[in-house]
Amino acid sequence: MSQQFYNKDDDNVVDIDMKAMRKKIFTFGPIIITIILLVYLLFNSIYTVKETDQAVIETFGQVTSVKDAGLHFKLPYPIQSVKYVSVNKTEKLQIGYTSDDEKNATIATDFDKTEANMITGDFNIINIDFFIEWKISDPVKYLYNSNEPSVILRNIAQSSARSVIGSKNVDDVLTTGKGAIQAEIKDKILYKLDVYDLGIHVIDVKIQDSEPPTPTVIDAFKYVESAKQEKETFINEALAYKNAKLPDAESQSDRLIRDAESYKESRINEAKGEVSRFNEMYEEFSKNPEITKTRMYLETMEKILPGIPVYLESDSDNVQKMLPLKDFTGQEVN
Amino acid sequence: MGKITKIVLGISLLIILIIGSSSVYQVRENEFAYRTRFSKYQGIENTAGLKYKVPFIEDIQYLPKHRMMYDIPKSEVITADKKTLVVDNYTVWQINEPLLFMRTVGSIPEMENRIDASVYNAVKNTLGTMEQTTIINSDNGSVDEVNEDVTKIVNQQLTDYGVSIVSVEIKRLDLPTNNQEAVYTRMVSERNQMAESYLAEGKLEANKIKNETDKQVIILISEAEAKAEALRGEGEKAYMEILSEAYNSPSRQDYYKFVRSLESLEKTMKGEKTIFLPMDSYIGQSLQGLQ
Repeated sequence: MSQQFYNKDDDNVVDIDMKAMRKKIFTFGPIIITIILLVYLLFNSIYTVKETDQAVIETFGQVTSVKDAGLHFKLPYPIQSVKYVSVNKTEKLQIGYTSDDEKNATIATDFDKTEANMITGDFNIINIDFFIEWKISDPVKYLYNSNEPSVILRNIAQSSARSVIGSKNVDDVLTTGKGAIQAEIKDKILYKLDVYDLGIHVIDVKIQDSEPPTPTVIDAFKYVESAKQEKETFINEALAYKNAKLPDAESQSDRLIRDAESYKESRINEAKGEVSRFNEMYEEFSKNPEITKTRMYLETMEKILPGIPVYLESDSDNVQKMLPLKDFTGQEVN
Repeated sequence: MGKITKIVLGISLLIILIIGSSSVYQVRENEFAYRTRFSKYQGIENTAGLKYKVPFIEDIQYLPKHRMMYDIPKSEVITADKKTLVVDNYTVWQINEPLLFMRTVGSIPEMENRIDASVYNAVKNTLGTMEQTTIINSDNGSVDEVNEDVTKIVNQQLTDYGVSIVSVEIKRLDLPTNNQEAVYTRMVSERNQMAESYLAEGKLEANKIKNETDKQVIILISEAEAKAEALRGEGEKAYMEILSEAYNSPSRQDYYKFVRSLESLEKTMKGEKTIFLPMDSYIGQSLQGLQ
């Protein structure tokens, strides 16, 4: 066990060199050893940290410092060693669907295909795909607090999503509630990450796709959507009917009222006309009532009697006498 | 210096190097070091760094200090209302008392077996007292509560092994596969029923609007008719008022009657009609006078 730290790392080169050197140890030994040691020390003491990374320096396994990007020096192996952690890179974790992304492909195949299926609070099963964007917030915690931080994160994400989806009804998950659900899942993940202390921070949780699980069920959901549209259509048609009928009725009633008004006015005018005619006539009449009366009577008779048979009745002898204005054969008699 | 001296020097240097390297060891941040002498426990190192030991006779075993995730295989549980659910758990745990851990369990896979058994029982017992609907609908935080309860129970059970259970979480909760089909069928029927009710609602509302419209139309027209009748009445009234003013004296009335009867006579006596006149009427007398 105590040998372990010699074999642990990649410095077999030194061992091989040592074997080769033993032969020449008596001749050039000291010089060669010194040169090799110097070269080794030089290359093992300089390291660069990339812009996306931070470097954690272990001195005999103990973390002694964390370095940012740039060129740095350290004590050579086996005293100090460097671990690079990409703290500025945003990682993406996809749940519920297999990505073409090489990095995620291996993870995705580990999980069964029903990963995306979840039960909602109202006992509907839906298919939900989402991804999580995360970052390393603390390189030391990320390296030493757990064995597989990203796998743990994946499990946390699944359990959080399960818990949140389980509290929602299917319509929220599929349509309106997405934003709220994302926020809730994120909160849950953040809370758990706090407990687990993995040195990870979640930036964003996004639901990419949520749909019913099978084509038949999808069709049923679509049917509801089209029924909603149809409902609106029915109502709009009825409103159109209303919009057409009401003005029509109004114009009809306006017509009725205007007709009546015109009747009223014409009746008044008629009366006025009649009165003025009567007044004129009466004025004439009152100058010589008897004569005018007789004249008018006779004038009227002149108008109506021609062509009409007239019978005269006598009360005295009860015998009807017919005037020979018309005989029974209908022939005019003189 | 002779050749022999050099060889002796070289060998002793090598020996010192071997002894030296065998008397120090390194502990990392995420490790405990468990030190034994001929398999007998000597001590625990729980801080990182370079540590010393007696060379050759002491052995070091490393134990993980970090949190470990153990993904527990899926299992079926029966709920209080005798329904089956498929539960998928994971546990995050860590060794917090390495000595106790080494004495009672000794290895990670063995510990995982115990966690497995303990979690399975705790989950089975906890969910076994709940109704399926309560478990599925986590609106009242039931899943979170189950997680907390199970974590607590498992922690209590496993505390004697020198480990601490950070959390046990249900990551998936599913219906058995044969139940899923039934759920899909129910979902479809539920949706169809919703769709039908949308359609019916649409028709109902549309009909209401149409009926209301028809009602309004009838009201509008009947109101207009009533108004029109009133206007006509007003017209008649005005007509009569105007006329009656003109016939306000007996002689005027008399004249009116006379003129009006002549007018109507003229209007009615048209076509094939026959008139009977009394002998003593004006015309009769005139006719007799003529004979």
